Amino acid sequence: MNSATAFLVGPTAADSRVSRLDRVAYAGGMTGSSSRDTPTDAALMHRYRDGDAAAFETLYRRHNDRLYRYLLRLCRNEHTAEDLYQEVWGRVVKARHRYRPTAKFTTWLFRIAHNCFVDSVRRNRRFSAQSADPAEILDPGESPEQLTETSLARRRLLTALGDLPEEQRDVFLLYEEAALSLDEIASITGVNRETAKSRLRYANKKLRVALAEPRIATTDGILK
Amino acid sequence: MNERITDPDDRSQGDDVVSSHYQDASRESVPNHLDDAVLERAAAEVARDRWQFRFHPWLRPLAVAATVTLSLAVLLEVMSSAPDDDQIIEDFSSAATDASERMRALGETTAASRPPGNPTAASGPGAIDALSAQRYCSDSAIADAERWWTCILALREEGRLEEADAELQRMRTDFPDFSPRP
Repeated sequence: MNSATAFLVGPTAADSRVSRLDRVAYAGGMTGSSSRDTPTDAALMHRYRDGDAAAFETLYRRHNDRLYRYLLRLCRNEHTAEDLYQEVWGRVVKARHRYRPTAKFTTWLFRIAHNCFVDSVRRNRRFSAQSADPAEILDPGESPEQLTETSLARRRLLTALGDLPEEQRDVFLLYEEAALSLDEIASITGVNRETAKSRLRYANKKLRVALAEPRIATTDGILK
Repeated sequence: MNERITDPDDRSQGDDVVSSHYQDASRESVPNHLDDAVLERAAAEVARDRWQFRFHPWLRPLAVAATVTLSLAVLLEVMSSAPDDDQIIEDFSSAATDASERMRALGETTAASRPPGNPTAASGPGAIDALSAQRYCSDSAIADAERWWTCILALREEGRLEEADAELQRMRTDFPDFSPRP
């Protein structure tokens, strides 16, 4: 899978039930509360601070894919996302001695990711004026005939997500990937709760339209 | 269950359909090389911590003892081989003349090689690297994330964008999770 298609193509036979249960667990399960067998994120972070590298790996494996997808879809460029991904974890590692569990680890982690992204956008605007090419988000690997209606709907959804204004995309991804509440999203993005809620509502509305109105598939595989 | 899902005011009908489709579509995993890079770095940092902890108890007294010993040795050497006053004045005078001539020559060379326009201004991404060693916010400002951010905003308002970026990079290291209040 190349950089142009990486954030468009989903699984061909995903187990959606498992996926949803997995996300509910992520939102309210082991990351925020303690149980007898699973240490909390904060406990793992403290163990890592005290020299336990295995604790960091456990913590990392809990969050790595969601953070990666958040950055991948936010940046709309695989290489930029990979750079930022490493930068975010680098900052987490460096900040281990200053880490205080005043909020959920997920909130702290995605706040760092959001800050890295904002800094990156600012740098790129000033020095290279980087812009995403709309053609990059299309997958030339499959012909329209090979696509089922379900996979077409997913593609429409992800294409529409890439077309959203940056602020709306950010809020939607923090909601879906990081499983954060509106209050947490508002805090991370530096806006009030109503603004975050409004952005999420607009994002969902546009994505609903994209799902409901199939685009015309042309012979060159480009969806319009 | 996450409270965000059960708040009916925050969700419209159909949002769950979007969410469901998105969750089905969004299943990418982190490439292995990224996993390896992050975990290796995390392990290396822990190893560095261990090394510092192991040597820390006796490293400082050793450094103090070495400094005192060297200082005494230099002092004794100076006292035992002190030249007379006339020699000192002569050496000083000669050194001052040499330095003066070198400064004059350096000034002429710099003036000759300076391009027209604004010769001292730096710009572009490289400028941040050059600026990164300098500080633009006071020690009291950088002790607190809010005050540091205020200093960065002030730099931006003054049009000193590269200086502001240099300070922002530093602030992100010390306060990676800081977000300005809305």
